[in-house]
Amino acid sequence: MSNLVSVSLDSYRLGCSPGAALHCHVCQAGNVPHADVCCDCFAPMALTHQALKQKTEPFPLAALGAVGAGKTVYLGMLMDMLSRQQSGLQMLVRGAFSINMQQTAARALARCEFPPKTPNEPDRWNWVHCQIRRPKNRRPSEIIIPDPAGEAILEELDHPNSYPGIKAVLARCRGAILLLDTLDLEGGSRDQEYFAMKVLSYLSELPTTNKKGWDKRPVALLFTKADRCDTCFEDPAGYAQRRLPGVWRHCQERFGRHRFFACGVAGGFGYRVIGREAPVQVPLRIEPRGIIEPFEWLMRHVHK
Amino acid sequence: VRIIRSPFLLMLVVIAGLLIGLGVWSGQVASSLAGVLGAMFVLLRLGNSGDGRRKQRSTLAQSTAAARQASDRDVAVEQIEDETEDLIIRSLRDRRYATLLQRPVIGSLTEEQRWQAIDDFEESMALVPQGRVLLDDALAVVGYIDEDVETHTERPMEQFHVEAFYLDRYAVSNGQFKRFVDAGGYEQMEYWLPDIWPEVLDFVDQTGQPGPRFWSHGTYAEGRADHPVVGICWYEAAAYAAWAGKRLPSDAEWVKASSWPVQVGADQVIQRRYPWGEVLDRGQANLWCSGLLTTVPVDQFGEGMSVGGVQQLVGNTWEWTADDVGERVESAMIAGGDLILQSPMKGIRGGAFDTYFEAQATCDFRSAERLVARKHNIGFRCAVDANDLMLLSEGADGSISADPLGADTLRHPTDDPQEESRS
Repeated sequence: MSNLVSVSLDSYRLGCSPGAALHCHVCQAGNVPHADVCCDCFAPMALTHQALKQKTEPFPLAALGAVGAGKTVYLGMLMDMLSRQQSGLQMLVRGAFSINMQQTAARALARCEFPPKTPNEPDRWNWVHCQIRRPKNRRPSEIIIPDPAGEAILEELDHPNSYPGIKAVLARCRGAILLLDTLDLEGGSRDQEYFAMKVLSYLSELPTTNKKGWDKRPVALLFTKADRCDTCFEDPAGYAQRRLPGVWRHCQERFGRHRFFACGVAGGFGYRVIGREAPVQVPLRIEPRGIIEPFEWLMRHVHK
Repeated sequence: VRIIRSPFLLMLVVIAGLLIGLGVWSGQVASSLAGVLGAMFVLLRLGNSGDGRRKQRSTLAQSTAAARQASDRDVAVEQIEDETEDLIIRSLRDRRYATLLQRPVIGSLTEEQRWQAIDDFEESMALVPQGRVLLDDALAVVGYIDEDVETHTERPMEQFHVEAFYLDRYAVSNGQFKRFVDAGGYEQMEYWLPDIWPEVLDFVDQTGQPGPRFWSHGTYAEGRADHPVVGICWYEAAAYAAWAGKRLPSDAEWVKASSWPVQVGADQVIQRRYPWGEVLDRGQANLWCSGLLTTVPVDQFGEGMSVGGVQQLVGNTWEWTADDVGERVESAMIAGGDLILQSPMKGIRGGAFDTYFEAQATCDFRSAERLVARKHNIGFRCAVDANDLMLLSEGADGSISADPLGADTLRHPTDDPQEESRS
């Protein structure tokens, strides 16, 4: 007679071992060497393996935004553009998990669709690990950017420690890109402003592990989907001052290095309807604008 | 009353009156009679002279009016001739050759003007022969079949017949569009569709003057005369086309000119993915992958020319077409799915300098934009029906020959010295 053992779904936690030698590069939790994802923050352990092999230690950057703000599209497009670019800032994407994200985003956009929404489960989030080579800089930088679900970010802001991975990254990261949905703003909603204020408030209250607090770390505030708003594209800072006065004041008082940007990926929008399902927004063509500039600015200030 | 107003006559009347009075007072009948006769004479004389003058004046007026009418007629004829001449000269200067080559106008042109118009026409427009073209009405569909067969299906394309037409070899440049602006194109409502009249005042440049959105002080940035005009909405493009005696091409015409279909067998048509062939090369079109990330002069990227000699159909700027895109169209990527647009749109084709994916800059890829959108990467080129232009040879039975403005008709008499000597 055999004894059946019930194994819970979070069996990956069996890999957690405080005394184990392999520490997650993101949250420093101890993991057994064969673990697939970190038992604490759910970051892929491949990140840690890759980081150990590099001469340069990777540092995290954060990409934050509410649900549907366009984090995956932005990061996917950024990776694809920097990988294809022949001059200026260049990116070498590392690891299959990073390339998967680039491929998923680029493939969907090429077909005039947006990539699928990032699942809420932390072990299914996207992670980017890449090498950045800046012009006139001999030594490339290694960076890690997580792409968590918008709901998870909001949950962590409302209830700190709900998602240790987010907290660990934000505590260690050297800079952040905060994405704000321009279409939502133009629609009259103030959700983007409240979300941004929560993020900024959360960041400024985080205990920092390095010498630089968030008041000295660069924060790029990026208006996404700005194709439909010419005033936003022409003067993002002025637009922020007019439309997001709370965020504007927050930045002025608590973040010494911040700058507003605007970007767009789609040249036009439509809504696809299949049967009785809710309409899904689709791009009519892809013509990226303002994608590289915020990242370039961030990289410049991270190294200052 | 008119007579009495004259001081001399008034004096005579007064004297006659005094004579009558004196005769009556002194009882001398002769004196009073002389007075009465004198007064009558004066009055009769005056009356006669008034009638004569009136008659004279009337005759003079009649003859003057006749002369004036004749003179006015001459002046009007001269004026019309001058105005027509001015209009022709201005049209030639503004390269509005298509307006001059039309049936009612061409008769007013001198031989030299006629050939100048034809030379301009030949230099600027390319013939696209009649034939069939494969077209998909759906929006935002890339022309390759994805391996993900569950959600992506191959779409059968429909065949359309396109009559012969002429298409601009180059997209309309800033320099060309400035001629329209300088000629008061934004003030002449006959070129604009009536439904946009109230909005025309709002089509201004960055300094508030009529013109494309990215211009300043009614002109383009220095050194960009030969770049394609951008920042113009569909209505501005259509107004320019009307001013130039042309129109915007339909979707089918645009695809016909770019993909240059070949009919194989009775009902099969094969057409190219790009105007030059099946594979994209960075040197053939100004797309994102070319790395320029801005517009280039309309005559660059010559290697990407279509079979018919039309340049930059793919890349540099999207091009407005005449076709409507309704608020609900088939999206095609997913079987049974429809695409709902926020407002009616017009078709755009060809991709632009910032089009990221090559699959979205093929001959058959179609996107759309709002009619009043004035984007940084949408320009246009014009078309004209081959049958609209004069130089058609008309048969005795009134039938029109099938080769309007064909090679024979377009050959300049001085081009062939032998023919010239024979003549």
